[in-house]
Amino acid sequence: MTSSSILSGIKGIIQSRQFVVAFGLLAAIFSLATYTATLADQREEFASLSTLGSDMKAAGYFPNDERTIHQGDKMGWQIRIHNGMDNAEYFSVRIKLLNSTQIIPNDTLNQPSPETQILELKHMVTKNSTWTVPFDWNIKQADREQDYVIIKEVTVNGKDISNLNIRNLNGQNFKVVLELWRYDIDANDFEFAWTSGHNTRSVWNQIWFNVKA
Amino acid sequence: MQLNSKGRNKLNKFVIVGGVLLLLLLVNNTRYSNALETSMPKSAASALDGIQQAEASGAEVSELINRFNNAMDLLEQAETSDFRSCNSYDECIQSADKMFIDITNDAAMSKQQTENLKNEEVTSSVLYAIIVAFVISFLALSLYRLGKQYQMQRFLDMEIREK
Repeated sequence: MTSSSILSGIKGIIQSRQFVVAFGLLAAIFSLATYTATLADQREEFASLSTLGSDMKAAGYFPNDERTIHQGDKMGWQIRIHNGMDNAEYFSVRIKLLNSTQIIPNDTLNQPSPETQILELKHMVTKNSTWTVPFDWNIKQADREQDYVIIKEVTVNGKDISNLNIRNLNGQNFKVVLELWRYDIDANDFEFAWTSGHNTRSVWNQIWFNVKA
Repeated sequence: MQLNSKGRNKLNKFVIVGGVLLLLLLVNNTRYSNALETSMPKSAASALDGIQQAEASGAEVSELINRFNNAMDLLEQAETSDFRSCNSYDECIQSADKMFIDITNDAAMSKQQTENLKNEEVTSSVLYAIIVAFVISFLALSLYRLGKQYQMQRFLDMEIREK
């Protein structure tokens, strides 16, 4: 076999209709596969908030596991925020101290509690990662007035928060409410609820306790 | 046109009230504190937007996020007058602002580099796909033709024998 015959053989193959069809088909299939591989996975976005006790468990929130606490009892909680959104998010955790009659967040309407927060913790979290922040608190001053116990001052992460006036009958059923807010660049503000697919979502926790004064 | 004393008094009051309102407006504009409670300064919003865009393009942004959190901490120090890493309101605000501008620029650069890299990767992948398709088509057709040629040769080499 001479080199010219080999060349003419190759030329014959390349110029044939069969080769053009096979090459066109394979090139289209491989290119499509390559393009599909570069596309991002479509998945549901979410963000989660969990409040854990001192041992990073959903227990041990109060000293001796007693829901009734006293002035000066120290609580060491951990707040964990997981960012399962498609992007890095700037989150705010708003911590509110409520009595039994104050309004808590509304799951159906995705509305936050209208009460003022005692503390706000803000942090930007990378996607698919978790931010853990300590929430150490105690009641610095709680007074009894007739049948009511009034929380007047708390210490949170070493800072005193005074001028509170949260009262409950016999000191029963106080609540720590933690709300997760997400920064919306378009609105230039934090939003309590956000859309994920066709659903609107909001995230919050609450932990009940009693106070003896 | 001359104003009587009543009219002059009214004008004076108007000027004083207007002046106070203008002063209040200027004071509010020079401080971030009001805006900080819920929204964030423009430079911070740009940095946040830049980081999100960079991450969406596939860039590694954890270092930028650390810097963003540090800058936000400076703003909080300014807001609460709890100066830990800066000495005054103005110093905190200026440092934070500078950090936000740097983050915005770095995020844009990071996004550009990642996009360029991604484009190069896509181009080379498509190129490889075409080359592989060419080689496979050529080899398959060559083998097919060789096989056919072999069969033809075998057929031509056949001898007819009488039983």
